[in-house]
Amino acid sequence: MTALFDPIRWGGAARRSAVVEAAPARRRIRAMAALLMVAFAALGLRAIALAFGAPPQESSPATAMAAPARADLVDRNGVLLAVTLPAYTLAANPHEVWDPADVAAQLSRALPGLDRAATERRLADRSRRLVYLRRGLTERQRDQIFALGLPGVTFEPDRRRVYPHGRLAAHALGHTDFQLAGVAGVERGLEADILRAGASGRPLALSLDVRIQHALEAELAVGMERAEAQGAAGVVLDGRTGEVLAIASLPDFDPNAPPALDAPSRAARATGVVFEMGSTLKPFTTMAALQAGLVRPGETWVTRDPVRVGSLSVRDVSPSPTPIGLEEGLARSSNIVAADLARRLSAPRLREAYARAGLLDRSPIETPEQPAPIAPRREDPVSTAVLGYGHGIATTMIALAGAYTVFCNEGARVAPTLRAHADGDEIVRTPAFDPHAARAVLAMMRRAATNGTARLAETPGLAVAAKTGTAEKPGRGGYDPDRRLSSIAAVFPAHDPAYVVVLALDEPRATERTGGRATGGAVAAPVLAKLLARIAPMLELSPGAAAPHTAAAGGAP
Amino acid sequence: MTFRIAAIVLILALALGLYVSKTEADRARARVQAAEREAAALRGEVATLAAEAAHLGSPERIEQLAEDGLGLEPMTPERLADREEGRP
Repeated sequence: MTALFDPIRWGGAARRSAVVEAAPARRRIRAMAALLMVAFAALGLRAIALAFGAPPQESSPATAMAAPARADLVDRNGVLLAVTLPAYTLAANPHEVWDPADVAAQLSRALPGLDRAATERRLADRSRRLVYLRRGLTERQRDQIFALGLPGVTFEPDRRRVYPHGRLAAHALGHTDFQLAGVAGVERGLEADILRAGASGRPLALSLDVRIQHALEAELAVGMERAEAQGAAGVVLDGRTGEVLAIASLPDFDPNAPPALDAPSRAARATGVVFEMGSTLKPFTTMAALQAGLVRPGETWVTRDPVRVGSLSVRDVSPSPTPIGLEEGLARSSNIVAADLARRLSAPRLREAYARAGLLDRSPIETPEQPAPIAPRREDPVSTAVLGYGHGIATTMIALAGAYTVFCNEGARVAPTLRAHADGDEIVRTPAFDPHAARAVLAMMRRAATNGTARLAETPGLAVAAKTGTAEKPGRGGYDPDRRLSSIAAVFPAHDPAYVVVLALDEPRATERTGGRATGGAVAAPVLAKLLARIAPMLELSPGAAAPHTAAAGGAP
Repeated sequence: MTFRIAAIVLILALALGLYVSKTEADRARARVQAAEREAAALRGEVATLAAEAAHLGSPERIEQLAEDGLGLEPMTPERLADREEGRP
């Protein structure tokens, strides 16, 4: 192999050998040409592939955002109760943060509640390339922090669940975690429905009515303050369909910033706590006795003096000097009459009546925090007597409200639900009591509101039928007379029963403003009266219509 | 020979046509994606505004405004009358 750059050869001195030398040179040129052709062919093929081939599929952020869609929650009239909004996660790259202390200070000024010391520590952590500082920022908060111009601070798109009405119906709605999975309330109890509705892009309608819900919460708060109670709860049901129009437990919380699950405000007194209800169960004892034919027409009871049952002395709170009939017994909330009816029925039959009323089962309401009722099987005379007036059995307020629907459906019961009832939905009515017995007891409860213990619940022209209850809560070594659940259960209008309301005050105190008493008739009944006056127009009931004095005053259109 | 030239021209024309339509499709896809992104952003905005409207229309807030600004209070049964009975 001769060197290509041999100076002697290029000098022209060895022309003789030029022809011999040309052949290897041509070979080299051909080889080069072939190489170049292969290269250009490769480039050309790649160009064709790019021009005509399928473009790379990039994932669109729109579809990524839509991943597990959670339907909006709306009330029965379409008012928005819960919605998923775009949000941002505040993140930072510690390697790009110059001064962790300064950045932490600025961030904690912009975001009250951000732990400044912890943020500074995380921003100084050089072992990481990305730290998350805060989730669920609103667009406004993002813009605000963006305007600070902090290097290394970034935002990642995210979503958050927002409850525009704040505390309204907090226990019923519940909330989600940061992955938008339901944690409490219907957000958890109706999770499957919410995801199904979300997948088809529809909102999920609840049975609640925000106007009634607000009225209930406002009146409960007033009643709670008036009686200096520890808590309060209430349920308003459409008695024909079982739809929960309003349900509230106080104290409540803001689901936009939910406190820990064991915080006192998380106790859902209306659905998640069992109470001994006391006298609000007497209508069921009475109905069962009537249905079994255990009461003779015109029969009377003497309630002036306490009656001994075994070791127990049964006494009435307001004894009558003269013998009283069954109706007067319920209107006065006579323990003696209820205990006697229970004795005639026997414990198993009475328990069976409570079971038919749905009081011994978990309520089918769609909130997940449902304790089981407590109803020990005791059949001795004392247990039977107290069972007659609602002791020795603990159940939830929502179950009690469900039981009272028997007065709206000719003795049949409907299950309370938080789902809005759609036209054409079948309503399951479970026969529970004889229609005649239900009507008779309804009339007795009407008397309780006009002349009995529930007098303060009487609302002009609305014909309320109501039963009060005052139950001492179990304490150490028996019942504690200072800690009570004072309640009222009502059905209205009595001539065409359509709605059920159950209200209770938890550990009310006998104050000057309650007339020195802490009974259901003194603390819960006035709340009911004020509530009914407010919600009757929303239910398209005209409370003024039947009252003669308003007809005269209402001359102007 | 003429046939070959015609065939080559036809192939080139088809190749060019395919190239142009592919490029056009790419552009259309980009436009669709941009529109989808915009739609998602607008949906987010609509949801935010709906939440804000619901918050502003919250019964508690309306009641407060009606009480403070207009001196109204919750209706009582005495203020209602039946149309028939109310007529003089």
